[in-house]
Amino acid sequence: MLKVCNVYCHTEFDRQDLFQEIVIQLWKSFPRFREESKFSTWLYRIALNTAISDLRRQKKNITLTEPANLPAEIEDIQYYKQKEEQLQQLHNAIAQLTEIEKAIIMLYLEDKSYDEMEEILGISQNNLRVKMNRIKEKLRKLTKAIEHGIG
Amino acid sequence: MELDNLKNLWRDLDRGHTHRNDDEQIVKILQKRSQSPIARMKRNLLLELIAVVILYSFPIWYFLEVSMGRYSEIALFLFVIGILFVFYFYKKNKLLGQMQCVTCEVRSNLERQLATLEKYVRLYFVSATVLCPVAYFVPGLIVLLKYPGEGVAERFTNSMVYIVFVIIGLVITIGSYFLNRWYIKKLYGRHIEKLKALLLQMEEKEPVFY
Repeated sequence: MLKVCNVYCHTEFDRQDLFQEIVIQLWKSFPRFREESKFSTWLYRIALNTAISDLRRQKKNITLTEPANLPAEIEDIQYYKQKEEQLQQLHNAIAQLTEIEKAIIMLYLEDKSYDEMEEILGISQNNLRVKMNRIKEKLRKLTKAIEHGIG
Repeated sequence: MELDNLKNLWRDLDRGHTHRNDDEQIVKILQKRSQSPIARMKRNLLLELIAVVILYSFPIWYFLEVSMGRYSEIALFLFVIGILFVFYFYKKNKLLGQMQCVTCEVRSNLERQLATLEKYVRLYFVSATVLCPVAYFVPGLIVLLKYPGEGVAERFTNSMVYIVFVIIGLVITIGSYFLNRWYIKKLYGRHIEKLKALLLQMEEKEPVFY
């Protein structure tokens, strides 16, 4: 849930707002959960539906942001600094994708199968594969651009 | 950064989650009101209903009691309009209830939202556009037909009164049509466009070359 909030929100206030909204929707919907799908599928549907449907947070001019939660216990500063930079690059690249692309890449990064992605998003697997290739290419370009300071 | 690293990086985010929401925090969250657009529309609808009940009760009481039943037809007319308003709010509330299905697939939820929002907007537009001329013509005709030669009407000849009455009515009807169209587009237009754009993003496929 926190990852969904990080992907779809650009300020801490928005993140808290969305997190609160998802929790409320989960609470309201839980009595109707019939175990017809996996719990994670059900949970992702609610989280993504809440995030995507709320158009207040979707702004055209996205500012590059830092991920909200970075490793707290830093033992090897050099190592974590590099990690931190990479995470920031990843978040900044994802922030420039469209709302649907964000959902697809997030499910991909969460190791969801195409079956489950189809069940959550309602996009056919063929269409998902086509989109996935396009997103990967887009991300590759974006992360390179950010690395070279063009993002 | 290679894409193979992305998943590893993504997993690293889990390790960084230091803020754990305990039961107390979750309870606090659940005590707050939902700020989703639909929840806020429902709250606004309730406020509108309360405002209509208050705004209609006073003139009905006035026309029945203070004017000693002289304009009882207008009081009856306002009562009928008030009842229609209640029905209108019921219909709008029902549409708002159907607008979202958070447990459905993202795509079908967006399709449902778009279809219901378009119905909602159509209901809003038709009701508001019809109400303005009705609210003008019906009480106006009651006054003109029941009490000819009184008040404003006495300054005009009979035919002149009706011509002016109809012209003002036409201006109100046409004006309210364009005003409502502009206002509804301002209120919901961007939302509808965004939903259509999201659905288009889901449909979009790579062009096929033969």
